[in-house]
Amino acid sequence: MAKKAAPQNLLGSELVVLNLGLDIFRQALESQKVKCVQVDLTQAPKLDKRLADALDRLL
Amino acid sequence: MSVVSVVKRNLFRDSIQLMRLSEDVKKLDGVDEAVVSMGTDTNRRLLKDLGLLGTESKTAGDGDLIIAVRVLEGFDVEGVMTRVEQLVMTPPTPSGGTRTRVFHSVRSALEAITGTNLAVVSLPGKLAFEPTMELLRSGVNVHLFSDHVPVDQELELKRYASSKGLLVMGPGAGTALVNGVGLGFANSVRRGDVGIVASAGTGIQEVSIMLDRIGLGVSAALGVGGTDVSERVGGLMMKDCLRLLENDRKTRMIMIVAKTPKAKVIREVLERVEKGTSKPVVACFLGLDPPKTRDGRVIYAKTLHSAVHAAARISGGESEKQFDSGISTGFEQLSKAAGRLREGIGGTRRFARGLYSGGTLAHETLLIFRELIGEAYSNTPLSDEFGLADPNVSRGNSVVDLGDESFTAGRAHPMIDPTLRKLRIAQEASDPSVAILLLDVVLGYGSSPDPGGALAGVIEENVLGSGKKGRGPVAMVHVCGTESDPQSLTVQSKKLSSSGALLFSSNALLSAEAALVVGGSSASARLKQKWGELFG
Repeated sequence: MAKKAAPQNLLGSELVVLNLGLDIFRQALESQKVKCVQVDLTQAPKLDKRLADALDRLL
Repeated sequence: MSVVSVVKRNLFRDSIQLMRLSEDVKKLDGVDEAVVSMGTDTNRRLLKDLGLLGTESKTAGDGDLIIAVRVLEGFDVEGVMTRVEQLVMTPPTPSGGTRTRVFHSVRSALEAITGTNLAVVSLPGKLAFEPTMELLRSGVNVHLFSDHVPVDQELELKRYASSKGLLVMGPGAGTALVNGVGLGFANSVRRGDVGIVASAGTGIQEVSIMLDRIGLGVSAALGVGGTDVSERVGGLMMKDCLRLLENDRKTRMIMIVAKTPKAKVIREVLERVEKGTSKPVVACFLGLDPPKTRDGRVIYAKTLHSAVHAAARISGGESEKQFDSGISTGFEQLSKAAGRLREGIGGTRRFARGLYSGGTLAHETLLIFRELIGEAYSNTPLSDEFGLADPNVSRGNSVVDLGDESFTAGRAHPMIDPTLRKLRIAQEASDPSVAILLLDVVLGYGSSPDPGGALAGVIEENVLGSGKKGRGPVAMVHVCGTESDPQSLTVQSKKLSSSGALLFSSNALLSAEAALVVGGSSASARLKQKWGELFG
């Protein structure tokens, strides 16, 4: 097992959040003025991963 | 009226999308009642209760989507169903803002959004491991809301995270507060100097709202998920979170809340506290007798109420006064009120029925009942012999956790969707042996926009004192919330109070009062004896 690192100082940092899953949690974060984006892995289940990345870059 | 049901095979929508679709379909012209849901056992039962279970619905499986509609007389059934299907089959889009950008892979989102330091993951449990590990490998902390993540995967995720100094809050972590931001189901509470680490989601909510009410605030509340304190996981993340709170200069006092932790794990956690923590610690291990205090720095509390009381005593001054005036009540006061309620209820009504949305609150009630009136039946019982054979049917004194997986498969959590609880309130109230209904109403981010309003109607129709049906049971409610929650404690309390419900400032007080009403003089004698343990 890798050597244990000290916990990062998440508590002192401004939060920048990815939300994977229920959209209500993104809405809740945005209502608290937190920078948050939605990652939707269910909309294109059969899409090739490289293609999904490429599409995201284009959109 | 005609009931029409359509099954769409292998079509998935998440529970929130389904709840909103049901609401939208109900608003269409010609629709009397409608449910759009996945074909799980719970949902088929709901359809049956609402008279919407068509022949085809009976054949639907967990992965199939059911559209069940009752069409009003005089409307063209085919035309109504065409509009319904158009609505349901439209691909869902994120709501709540035109600026929202949606990504379709973790990698592309991380490339586009610099400085990402946290992810909230609420994917179905069986799909959560891979993206969570990808996030951790990219140096991102994770709040893993998802349930049903296999424990092997949990262990792998937590070991990796721990080795890199990252947090995995979960799986099954309903609540966290980081830098004043609520994650998952969390209340809007003032920031302060109490750091919380918990394996109990509504446990965090209950203590944080009480801390808020007495003028103390929360520096951070880190939920680690219920299985973190299992022997297999060994409190891995709880120990890391304790270290984080010890090193956090904004945290002056630490509170540990755990639901049915394993004794071996707690011994290790306490060793960590003794060796590595210089701050005062309040520990509430619900369902586990506290070990003997070794160095006097750890104060043990038997209930969430008494944990906050202990925090108030440590802080002293104004917060202790506010606890006494705003939350606490005396034994005599509680006992007298119970006597008056017993007289009002009278007759054959002798049982208490808890219908909870918060699992930790249901658990706390079971523990208090065991102390005062004996163990109650439950779908999440303290001991196997008190398990309900059918979680949909109560017996004797019962406490049901409606947020348990037996009710939430393919449905939104009851903190979001009140449908099942409303039906269950009416069901319990119609039982002539029921004296008390115990209900929690949990406010905060992620919860229903009007949870009190959603229950007020069914309470008003069914409870003693306000009911159109006359003598029903008494509804006792604890509103777990704050003034600054999106739903507002005052607004929600007024709605519930107007419906005839009696309100309590903590779930522990509510549970004790219910026990006094159904348990009479013997419960009263026990409570008097145990008052210090439960509320001191």
